Parts: sequence; C-alpha cells; structure tokens
Amino acid sequence: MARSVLVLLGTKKGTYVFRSGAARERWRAEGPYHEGQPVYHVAFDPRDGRSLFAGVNATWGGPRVEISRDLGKTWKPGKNPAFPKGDERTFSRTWHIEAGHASEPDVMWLGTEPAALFKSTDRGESWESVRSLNDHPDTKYWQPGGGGLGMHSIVVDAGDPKQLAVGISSAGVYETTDGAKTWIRHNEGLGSPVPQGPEGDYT
Amino acid sequence: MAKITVKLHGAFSQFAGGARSATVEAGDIGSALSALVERYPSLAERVRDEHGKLRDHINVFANEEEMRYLEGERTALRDGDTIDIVPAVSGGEGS
Repeated sequence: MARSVLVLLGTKKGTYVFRSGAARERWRAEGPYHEGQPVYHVAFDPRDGRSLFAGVNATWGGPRVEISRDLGKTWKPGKNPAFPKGDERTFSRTWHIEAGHASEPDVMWLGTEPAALFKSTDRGESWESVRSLNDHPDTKYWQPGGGGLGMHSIVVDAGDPKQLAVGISSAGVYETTDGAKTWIRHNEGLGSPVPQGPEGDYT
Repeated sequence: MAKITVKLHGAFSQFAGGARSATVEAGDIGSALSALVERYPSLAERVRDEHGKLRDHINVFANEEEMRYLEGERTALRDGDTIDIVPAVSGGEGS
C-alpha cells in the first residue's frame, strides 16, 4: 500500500501539487508553481521517486519543460526540444511528458505541438527528435483537432520497453513494437484524416 | 563595440537569475541579444525559437523606439544606448 499520495495538476494558471497520506483524509496544496502560465501536463518519474516535469506553455517566452528533482520544491527549465534545421515546423507547445520504461531509467518521452515525439536519454534535460515518426509519410495528412495538432498522450508498455503508443489530435494512435524504429497506425473509426491504405491499418 | 544596457521586464528576468538589467557590448540589437543570452543561457530559448526567429509576444525597444520602426535587429547602437525587452500584452476572450 502506498505510504503517500501525490496529485499533480496543470492548470491555466500554473502547477499545483497536492499531497496526502495513504488514507487520503487530509490534503496539503503546494503551488502555484509557474504562476500565471498555462501548464498542459505535469508528470512524475516513478523510477527515481522525486522528479517532476511540467509542460509550461507561456505566452511570453514560449513553451518549455520545467524539471524538479525534489518533488516540486524547486524547478528549472530543461533544454527545449527542437525540430531540425530546414524543418518548417517550430516547437510551439508541450502536451505530454512520460517516464520511460523501468529498465531505462534515463529515458523520457515528450509529445509536442505540432505533433511530434521527442526522446530524452538524460532524464529530460535534453531531447532528440524521433525521426521515424516525426518524418513519417502520414504526417502530411495530420490535421489539427479542436485543441491544435498536438501529441497529447504517450503510453509506455510496462511489460516491454520496445512498445509505446502515442495519441495525436487529429490523426489517431500510432504504436511501435520495436523501440520506435517503425510505427503501426491505429485509426479505424476515429474519423482520422489519415486515409486507410490498401494494406489496412499497418504502415 | 558599444556598451549597452539591456533591461528585462516581466517574466524574462526570472530566466536571468532575477536580474532586471545587464550591460553588454554590442554593435547592433541582434548582437546585443546574442550577448545577453550568452550571459544568461536560460533566456536563449525564451527569446528565440529553434530556427532563430524572435518569439511572438516579445517587443524589443532601442532607446524607447520599437525596433520594427527602426532597422530591426540590424539597428546600430552607440555607447549608452538602452534596449528594453518587453512582453507584449495580448489575449482576451477566445485567445
């Protein structure tokens, strides 16, 4: 049974951390951190038990990932993800931050707008574009949903470090089973703008 | 090279360790911004995107004149000139 519980909240006006004991009877609120700035996601790294990541999308100064190594007491910005030189896309929002598999304690994943996946191998301090997905032929069909063209969800398979799924609005779900070398499209029934090829749902 | 005072307003100062101003040596606005972010690396990605473009919602003034009405980042500077980096005010319903 858990000894304590953390609830992490990203809001339009900053980051809040709520703490409680295992019984969850009383809660202590901490924050707001990043006061007055929209925070799309706050993530916890269960592998070290102390790192938090906040996707801050500030009007002034642009998007960034803020990192805390002491459960929210102090924060500092990490290096931004970047699209390569010559790419027309510009990193404009942080949507989702996800700790990697337990067997890869330095790996973090980041979903952005425009929709793209970035990987960190230094616990979120810096990011590399996952070109296999970010330059995938499907990207020309991806269209913004109501909230923009964002990669809003990332799920790591707890049983397999090579398996990962991401959600893109609006494109659908893309899954890799080989450590992000190749991707399988899952978008049947989603009204995705990505057409189904004759080979079906696999790309 | 001229000695320039760069003033940081609003949220920008938090990325410069709380500093509200810095003195840099530069010949024009672009090089003054480069000197500033060299001193305060956390400001670099707050001022420009990954392709080097100045971010939206940032206004740069040289001696109280918005640089768009001057020669942009190529605006020449002289000893004692002042640059203000000011967050633009925008927003409202639906933004």
